[in-house]
Amino acid sequence: MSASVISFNNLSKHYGKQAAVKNLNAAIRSGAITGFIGPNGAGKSTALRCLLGLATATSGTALINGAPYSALENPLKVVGAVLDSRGFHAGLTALQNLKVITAAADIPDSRALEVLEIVELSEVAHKRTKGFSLGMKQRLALAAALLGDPQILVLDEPANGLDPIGIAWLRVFLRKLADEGRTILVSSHQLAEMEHTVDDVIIINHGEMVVEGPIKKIVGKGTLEEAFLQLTLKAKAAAK
Amino acid sequence: MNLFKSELRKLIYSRTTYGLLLAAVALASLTAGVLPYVFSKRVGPSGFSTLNQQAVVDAVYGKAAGAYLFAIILGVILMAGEFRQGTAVATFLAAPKRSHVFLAKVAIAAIAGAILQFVAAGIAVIVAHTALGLYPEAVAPSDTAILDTILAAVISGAVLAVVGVAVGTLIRNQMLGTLIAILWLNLVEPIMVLVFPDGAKWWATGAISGILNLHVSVGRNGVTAADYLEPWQASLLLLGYGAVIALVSFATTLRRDID
Repeated sequence: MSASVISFNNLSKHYGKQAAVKNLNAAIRSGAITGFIGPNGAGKSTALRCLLGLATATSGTALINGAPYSALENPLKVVGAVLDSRGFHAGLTALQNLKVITAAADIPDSRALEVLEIVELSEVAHKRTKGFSLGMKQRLALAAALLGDPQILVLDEPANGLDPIGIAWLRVFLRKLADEGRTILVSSHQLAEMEHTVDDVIIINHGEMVVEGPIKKIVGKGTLEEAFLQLTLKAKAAAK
Repeated sequence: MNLFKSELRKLIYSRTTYGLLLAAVALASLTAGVLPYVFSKRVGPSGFSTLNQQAVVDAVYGKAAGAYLFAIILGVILMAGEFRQGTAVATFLAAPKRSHVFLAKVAIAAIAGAILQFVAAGIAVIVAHTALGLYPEAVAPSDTAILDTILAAVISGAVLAVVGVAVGTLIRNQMLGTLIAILWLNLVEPIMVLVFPDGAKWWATGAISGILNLHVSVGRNGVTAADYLEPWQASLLLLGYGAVIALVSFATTLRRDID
């Protein structure tokens, strides 16, 4: 078993009286693709935002290599993140958007062209992102995540808005990145797709962790969807 | 330095920057170009057009520094624009220490605001000079009028852009932040000055007038230039307002979760 590079330790996040995440404890294994699975509103995005320092945890910690995100020296060289496809200035070209980030993170500008090549967006490097489709924006977001050549990737619903060809591309792309030794934490509510992509899963529902472990062990002979429904219903019954 | 470079790129790459510059040039030039005509129609105590008074000619040149509103808008957009465009996430992922981002924005805003006003005032001074040349009765400006105008433009541009960043940090909604800045400077404060003329120099617009102090003998609403603070005092006052707004935003919005 590889060492964990990401850990959630009793992480809780409340918005007023509403608990978005409740005492989440989980560890993500190095060099694997871990699926962070749950229905919409389960608390996946909130937990990831706490991990990346964009939201402050009410209690507990979310750590990367044993430290909070804000304590990382040049974080983009450690962690690449895709949180939504809206994170680009519509009036700037794809390349300009990336060069704003390379400047901030002290990454050579030549890397921006390299990552556009990796996500197959070289042809539109000089086009304003205003006219980009959702799929192109997702690819650009992946390109931005790869700028610092990080060993850890945190991806929140990267398949959202992708057509079947885009989803297939993403699956191969993530596997290639994992084969390079990177650790990938990817959230999704598309269970069928995740089943074909991930090595480990963390299932979360109503802000609480239901189960974590290797996908083969959790799914058994059924499907991820069946395992998810069975486990969440069991957890619901136990809560009563 | 990296963050400064990143913020500089955001400004250089964005069309909005050039739009604001054009708008500032247009406003300052229009005002400075039209005023000679307005003053030429007014008759002074001597029975001649007021353009034969040096203070009036100085005032015409002084209007060349009047596009400071665009500097404050530039500052607001620098910060609040991150939330409008959705780029705040990328910015704070690259630089999780939010105070560092704020300081980089303040630095770039000060420089950009100063350049914006320098260009706008420079062109408007040429326009004013050309327009005044059309009136034979117009006297020469005082020795320091043009230099004062350019200095006032640069200082007000830098200071107000910094205030704009503070406003944009406090009010994350770019449209709302811009609207509040415009309404505050053009509606709320003028009304307050009318009601309380004695306190005029302490308001933001009063401080701006102080920065633009050109020793014009007759001001608006019975407030004369002599009633305003000295330019350096007025600059400090405005920076103080900016610092207070920034402190409030540090304690509130800057620490809030990034959506």
